[in-house]
Amino acid sequence: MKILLKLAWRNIWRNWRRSLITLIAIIFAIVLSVVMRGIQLGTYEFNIKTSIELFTGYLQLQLQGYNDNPSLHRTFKPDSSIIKELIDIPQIKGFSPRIYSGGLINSKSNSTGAIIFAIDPVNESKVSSFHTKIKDGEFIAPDNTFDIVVGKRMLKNLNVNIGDTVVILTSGYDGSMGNYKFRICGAFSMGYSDFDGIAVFMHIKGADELLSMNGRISSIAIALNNLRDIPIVKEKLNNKFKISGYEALDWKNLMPDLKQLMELDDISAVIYLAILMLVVAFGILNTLLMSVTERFREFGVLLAIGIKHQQLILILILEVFLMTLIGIIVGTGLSYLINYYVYLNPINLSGDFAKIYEEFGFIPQIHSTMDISIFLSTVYSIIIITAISTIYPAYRVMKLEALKGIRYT
Amino acid sequence: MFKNESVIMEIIRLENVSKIYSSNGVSVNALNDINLSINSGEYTVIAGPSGSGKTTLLNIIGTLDKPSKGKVFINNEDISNKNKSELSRLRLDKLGFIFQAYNLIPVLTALENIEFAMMIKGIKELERREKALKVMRELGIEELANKRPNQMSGGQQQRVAVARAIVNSPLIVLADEPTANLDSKTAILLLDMMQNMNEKKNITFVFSSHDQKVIERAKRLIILKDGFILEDINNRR
Repeated sequence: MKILLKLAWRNIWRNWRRSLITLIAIIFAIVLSVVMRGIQLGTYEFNIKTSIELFTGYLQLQLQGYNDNPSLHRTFKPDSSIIKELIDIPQIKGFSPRIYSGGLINSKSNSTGAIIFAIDPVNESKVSSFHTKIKDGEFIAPDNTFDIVVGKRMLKNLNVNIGDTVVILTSGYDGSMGNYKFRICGAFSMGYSDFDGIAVFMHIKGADELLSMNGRISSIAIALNNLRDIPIVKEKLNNKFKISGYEALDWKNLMPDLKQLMELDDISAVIYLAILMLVVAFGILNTLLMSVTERFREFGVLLAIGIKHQQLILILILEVFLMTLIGIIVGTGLSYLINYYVYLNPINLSGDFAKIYEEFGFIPQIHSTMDISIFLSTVYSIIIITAISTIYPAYRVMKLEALKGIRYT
Repeated sequence: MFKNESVIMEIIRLENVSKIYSSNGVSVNALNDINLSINSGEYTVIAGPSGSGKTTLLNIIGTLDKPSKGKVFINNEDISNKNKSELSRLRLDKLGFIFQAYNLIPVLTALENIEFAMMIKGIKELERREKALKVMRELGIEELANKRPNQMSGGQQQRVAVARAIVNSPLIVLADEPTANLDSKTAILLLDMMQNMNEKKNITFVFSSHDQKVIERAKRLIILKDGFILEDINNRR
């Protein structure tokens, strides 16, 4: 085996330029594949996590059908059994009630449509990190029932300042018109300009009065200790409460557009990577065929002195194996360094790129992931394409006759 | 039995062997009804003009080519029905080859080239290293051990090829025009070496050549013409 390995190794460097080009192709394919996939999945993960932690929550418990057709008439009064169950599930870090509605917000000089997110200021901080996005003023205090927080863009649109009062008009649960004065205690910036121009966060007690909810809520937002616990807890809650008309929803249910966008993006990335791998496969095939064909005479001599075809193919496989191994080591090493750098130093996008990201509801930042599966799947792909590329050259060696090889010119 | 005495036995027998090449509907009879027997310890030269069929005959003896008709026996074993793998094993165990163009593996040193033939046979590393060095010493080429083919002259490469051919102690060494690419002086040195091995170690050689220097040394000379054995002269030396 040692001499076969030696032979294979020296054969690789026999035509070092050709081998180097093939190696570079393998390395390039690995680096491009891992870095691209790392950035793609890292940015997805970041956006999912950001969205979840910023406001959506890991899970939400709602009445069945509310998510598809949100209405104040599909709200519910959380009973003690729900609260107890949520407290008892160990994976749950915290939970907080919410009311979602819409309305019209009016200042002295302007008015605009608004989406109302009513929260419990005490519990909400255990569920979301929204409170950290306050840029001016302060977050809603537990005792200030009629304080609200608006986006900086809305502040500008309404031509108001922190401390000013506005009036919110809306339709209540009982059909009456709600009409209350609220004080703007703070302004946030989420990073998505559209959201910053339309969202209003208010105290759940204030919303209860404004909307005549009488203790009803739209949803319970739930935070978990780990992103990976989502399916387990979701299943637990559904098993427990589905029969009572509730359902637990995860980010895929709550943000279907984001899920579809990611799936579409994922498909296009996979197609792109498949094309890249195909190109590399042809490169490897070409190198191997040339390498085999120019050694037909040598192979013929070896067959004449008694080597078996299988042993010749073993030499060929060892050559491919060694070359692929070098490519994998260098390629994964390089891509690890690049991914690690981007992982530690996310890239902030600006200009048109940032706008595109914002239009899709993403924070304009490029992240990466160190998920081992990306490296492994790329390595498997390279091993598979090199194995496939070896089949035809190996077949030609298998079919070679000693005499034809010796006479080959 | 005394040390230098050896039993003479038939190691190759060809019975009514013919070889017909067909190309584009044209058939050429390269060999016609050849009957031939070669014994151990012989130093045989198959000679004849170009196209007489000498290389074809050598290839058939060497199991590299199959006859269109007739039977070939190596060590009393009919090889007609052997498959590719069995023929490889037979060549490995019983035959040694020396080619006109030396045909050493360019990326291996002389020592590794000689070892390679034993490696295929499954001989362990230490043993094959010892055997390879011993053969190199016997042929006076030990100084070439670490040289690669491109660092050696044609004569040196051919001597390494001889070492590779004999290292597995084959029944017979087949040499196709071994001196064709060598100058006269080098060719004589090489032939001296092979003759010496034949006389001292009783190694059987079969040459295909039209080189007068090779023919002159033949103990047995088989002259071919148009695929027929024209003359078979034994005991020339």
